[in-house]
Amino acid sequence: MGNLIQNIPVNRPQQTSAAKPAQSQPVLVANVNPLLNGIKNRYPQDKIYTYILAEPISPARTKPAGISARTASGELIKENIFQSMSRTVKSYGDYAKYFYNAAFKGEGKDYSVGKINDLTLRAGSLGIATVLATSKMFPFAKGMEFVGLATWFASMAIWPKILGMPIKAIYGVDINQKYKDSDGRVKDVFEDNQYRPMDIYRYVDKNGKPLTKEEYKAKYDHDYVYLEKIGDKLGIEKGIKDRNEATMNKMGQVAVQGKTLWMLTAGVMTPVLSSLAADALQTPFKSLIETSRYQRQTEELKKFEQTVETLLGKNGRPRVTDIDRLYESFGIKVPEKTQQQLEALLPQNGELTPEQFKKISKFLERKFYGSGFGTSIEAAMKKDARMTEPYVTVNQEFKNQLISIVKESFNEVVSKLPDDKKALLPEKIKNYECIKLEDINSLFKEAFIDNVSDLNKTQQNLLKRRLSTTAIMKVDEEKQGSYLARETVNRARQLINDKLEALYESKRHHIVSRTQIEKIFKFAEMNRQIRGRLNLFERATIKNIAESATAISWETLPQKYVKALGFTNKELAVLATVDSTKATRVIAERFEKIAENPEKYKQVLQAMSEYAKGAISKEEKAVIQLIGTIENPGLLFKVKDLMESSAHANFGGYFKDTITTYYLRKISAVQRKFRNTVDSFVRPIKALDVFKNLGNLTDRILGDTATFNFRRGNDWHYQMFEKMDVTKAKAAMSRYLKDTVLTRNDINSWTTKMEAELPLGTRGFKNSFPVLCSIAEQIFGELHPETASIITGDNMDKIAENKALIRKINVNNWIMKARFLRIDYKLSERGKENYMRQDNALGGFIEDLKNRSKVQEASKFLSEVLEDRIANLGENIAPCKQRFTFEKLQNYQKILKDFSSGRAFEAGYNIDGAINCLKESSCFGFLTANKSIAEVSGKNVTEFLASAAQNIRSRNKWQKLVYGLLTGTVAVSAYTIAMMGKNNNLNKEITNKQLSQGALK
Amino acid sequence: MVTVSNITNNMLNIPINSITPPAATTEKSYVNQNFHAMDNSHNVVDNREYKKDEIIPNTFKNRMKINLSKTLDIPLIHFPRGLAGAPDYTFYEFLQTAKFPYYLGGPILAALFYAGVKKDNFKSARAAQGVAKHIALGVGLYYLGAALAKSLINHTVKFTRGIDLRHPYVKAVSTSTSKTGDFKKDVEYRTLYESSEFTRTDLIYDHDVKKSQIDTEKIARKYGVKGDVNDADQTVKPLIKKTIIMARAWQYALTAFFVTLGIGMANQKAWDKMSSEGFKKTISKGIFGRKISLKNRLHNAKLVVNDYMLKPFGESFKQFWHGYNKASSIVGKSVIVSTAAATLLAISLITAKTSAKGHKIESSGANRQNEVTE
Repeated sequence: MGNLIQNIPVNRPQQTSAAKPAQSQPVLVANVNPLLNGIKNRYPQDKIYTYILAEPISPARTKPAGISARTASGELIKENIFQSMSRTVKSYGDYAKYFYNAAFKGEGKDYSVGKINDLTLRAGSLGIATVLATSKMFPFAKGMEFVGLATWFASMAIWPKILGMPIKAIYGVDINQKYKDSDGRVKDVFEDNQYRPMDIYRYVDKNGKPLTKEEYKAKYDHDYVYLEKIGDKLGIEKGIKDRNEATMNKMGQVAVQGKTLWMLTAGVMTPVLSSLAADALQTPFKSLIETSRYQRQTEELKKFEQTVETLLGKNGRPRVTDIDRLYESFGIKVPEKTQQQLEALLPQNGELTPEQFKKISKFLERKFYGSGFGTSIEAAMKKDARMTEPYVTVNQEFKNQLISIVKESFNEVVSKLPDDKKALLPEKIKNYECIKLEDINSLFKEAFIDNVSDLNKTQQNLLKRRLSTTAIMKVDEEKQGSYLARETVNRARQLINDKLEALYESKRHHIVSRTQIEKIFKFAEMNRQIRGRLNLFERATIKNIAESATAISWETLPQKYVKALGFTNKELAVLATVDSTKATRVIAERFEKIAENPEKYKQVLQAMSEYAKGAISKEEKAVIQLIGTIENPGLLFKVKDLMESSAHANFGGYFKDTITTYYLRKISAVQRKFRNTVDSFVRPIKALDVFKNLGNLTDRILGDTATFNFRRGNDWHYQMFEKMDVTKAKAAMSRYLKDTVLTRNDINSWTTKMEAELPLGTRGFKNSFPVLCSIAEQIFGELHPETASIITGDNMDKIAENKALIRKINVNNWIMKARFLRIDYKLSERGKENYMRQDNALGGFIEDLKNRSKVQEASKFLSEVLEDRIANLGENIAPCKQRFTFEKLQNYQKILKDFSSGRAFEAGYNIDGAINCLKESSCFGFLTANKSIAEVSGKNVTEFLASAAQNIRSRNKWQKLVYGLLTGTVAVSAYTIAMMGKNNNLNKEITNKQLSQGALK
Repeated sequence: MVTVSNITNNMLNIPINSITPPAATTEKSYVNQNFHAMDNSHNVVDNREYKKDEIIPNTFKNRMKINLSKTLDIPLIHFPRGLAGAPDYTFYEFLQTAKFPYYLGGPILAALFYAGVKKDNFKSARAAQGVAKHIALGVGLYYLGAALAKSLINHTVKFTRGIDLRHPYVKAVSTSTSKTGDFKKDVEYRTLYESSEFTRTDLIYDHDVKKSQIDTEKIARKYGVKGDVNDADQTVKPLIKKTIIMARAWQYALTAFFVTLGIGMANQKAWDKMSSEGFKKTISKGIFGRKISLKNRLHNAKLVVNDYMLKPFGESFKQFWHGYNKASSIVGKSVIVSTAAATLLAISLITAKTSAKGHKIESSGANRQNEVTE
């Protein structure tokens, strides 16, 4: 209650002689009241003022009115968190009003002006979130800025509430208690420690609910029951004098402590809670965005596909190839700005100067940069050769100009000669007048250009040669005479040529069909926009771009792999570092441990399979929509088909090739992306399988190369490891296998690592190729049946999908094997030199199909490789793209199936016809090991796990910090709360007894 | 129940013999602390520096001194007193402690954000450095923007109206109430114009003080009062009140604009050009390093200011304006334009609305509301 008594508003007694009303004589009271005596003693220098009614200013006319204090009508507010939130939101409307009044009119009070800060703080933060959101490229990142903003304000609001809960539970004091003052403004009861609105507790029931006076009186016989209850909680002695005031004072102490604690901890807790909340919201928010985005894009794509199908016009309907109709059906529009740019560049009268022509070519090139359309546009423009070549128009004026060029040239040469030399020249040369219009006409006739209205480049050159010759021929006999004449004529020839070239240059123009250019542009633009539309779907699904479905599974699933494998924190630290050798060692140790323990092996394998299925199936759905299967081609093939026929109909073959490449490249990119994902996610599974069966594999590899073994003394040695005994050699081989299976990515590292395992640092080893083939055969082999059965599991609902996964793993291995080495070596005894050469990719082992014993393996290989080859068609299509059709591929597939099922060997089957048909496929450029494996395969196991480990560790660091701060702050808060309301050096309760002992005399 | 009427009722109007003197109460009972008014404190030497509220010269040195003292008081006085629940703890102290989370929250959030950034390998470590730099810049420019908004208005008001909203005064606090505790707090540093309702015009128009620190005539003239400015306080006081309200409102509003601008600029690529390593090294080795000539030190200081601060600052402004795609360019432009517009509006409104020109000097009519015609 501090300075309250000093703040009592008292009126200075008016120094007037008017008689005072008897009841307000100060002297009477002051003399007898012990309190006032006390005050008088304390402040002897001050006069003691008492309350005196105001004197009427002019008693005759007015009487005082309206000076009585307003009855306090404040009210305690009891509300739950939602009510409080909605009140807060509503109050922003008031704050806006406060702002308007203060900022534009200069009206307001400290309270209302202070509230503006609340409003602008939020407005500013909203601004910041908007600015940050626009700096982000993707919807999730954009959204998170606002989620962060929301959690920040939420935790700012919620922390005092959390802090208030234990304080209220222990001491009964609600540090956030609000009340409505007489003006209806909501304020904190304990905002100002020096002002305690005790009145508002008068008619409050025991649960803190404010009642009207009548309701209260009906329930209780005395006021302040709520305060009494709080007093009990605070441990204020019962029955003491002024207990409620004592309670109020104690409440003040607790509230000050609570509020200070709030300020002490808010700086830490607001960001901590905000960070935790945003983190918790991240996953659901992300999946919400992912799902809605995927659904929206899928619907869009389906609509698009329907349009394409309609335009493709199967079942007797004609295909639509007209560009304008395609525009209409797809709802495509050329952007206005582009259209305007093009308009400005297009010829008005069908003619373009060379510069203008360059400009338009540049424009088209820029517009379709990287699309491969550039050359086709050029080619399409060349279809009408006059477009690309500059022409010179022939007319009477032009012919006259030719005559004057000749004359001028001679005159110029002659005029430059000194006068004495001039005199020596024959008259014909000195005053050249020989060439006439008839000569020019006959010259045109001789050159067969007399009916040509525009000269092309060849004709221009022809004319250039002929003109000077004709001109000189006229004076030929004259120049025989002297050296001077010959020299003059020669110089004139030179000059004629130069002048004619200059004339050409000024007259040259491109004759361009406006409609043709527009048509070309529109066609290319349509394809560009269609690709943009397809891109939208890819960006939501399979594209390697932030926030696509694949990016999200790449973010989360590898971390789950790491957790399933059970790495310790120490191991994670090693994994996360840049040293891949150490990381590989750690992974190898972990894999060995898992492989040793069947229970753990099963557990890890099944967990990883689940995750792999998740990652693969998500992408597979999108891939099927885009590419489809061999039996049922997808959207990309349909679009390709439609655009090819449109290109053919409008521009002929050359544009069709571009379109084919354009879409095949896209198809191949999709395929490769999917292959990459599958490879990355199934590799750890296959690697674990290799670790499990390491002994077998080593034996098999070394056994395979047994022909190279030899005997020295009593011991057998492997040729490769000739300095080692068998056990050591086996150990070296298994060490090598472990390393390879975790880090393999390209063939060079294979051989280098193999050499490293050989004793005495041997460089190169005998028969290295078969050895590597054998190794590849083993580590790219199918899953061990035992492993396969573990993955299949016994859950009936999942068997089908698990089997599909196993197939995918095996197919992936087949493909990787094919890519890795010229593994076909194993498939044929004919020797490697005929196999899968650039020009005959399937060469050699198609013949194997005839051999029943080999057919299973060969056809399996072929079918997988063929399937995979679709992906590569876009890139390797050059020599044979025109002959490729999807139907053909399907046909090959069918034939191969016939072989593997044995149908081909039934009587009546045209086995040679079938094989010839397959041979035709060789032209597809089925190159096997023509690409760096790193380019087409996924991440290796070490890389895969290491990057996941980095993510886990950065998350761990965050967790450590956030939970450290949380724990520390909670501990400080708990301690402070426990010490609340107690007497201490700064808050000594003065009792009556103490007062009587000296504090009060 | 502490209201004026209660005290008068309880203490004055109750029959005298019904009051038991406190000293005579034998059982332990709680006594209102106001009773220490009867304290024998005249025995205690009052060695407070300020015994009454006093205006102090508005110099840079004083303001810095006050800021330092206020900052130190937060951990040394206000927090201990608040955590102990000192009975004479004031709202002023609460507001002082509220600055602590304001300045702590941003850096902690930034630290938490940075902790979650990948930095294990070389590539991600580099990326993380960039992220850290932008976060630190964001925090820095946020506070800078907030300070700039305040300062803009302060200077506008000082320039146009001659009053400095930062003008400090010392509020002398009675330590007699601190009898209940150890930590004595005898001053509160406040500013004359911090409250529109309780503006300390009494300190400004304190004619008793011989060396008045504020030239009230100048203020009146600045407000546009014509003629005799000696007795213009009747006119000027309400205008000062208006000025305070408008200035405060616009300070808050401009803060929102300027912090947004600050964050926007912190987020630009311009800052990536110069490395933070180089910045640190130039300062630690180039300016404060050993064996460097003064000329080089000055040169390096110039480098730090120009190349590491001003240039990227200007660049980032340009980049924010242009944006790198449509959305960011729209947002950047609108933030910059609206910040400029709001600033101009604020300045023009404050100057226009607080002018005394055309202001009718009204008779005070203080008693009119109390008059009722019969």
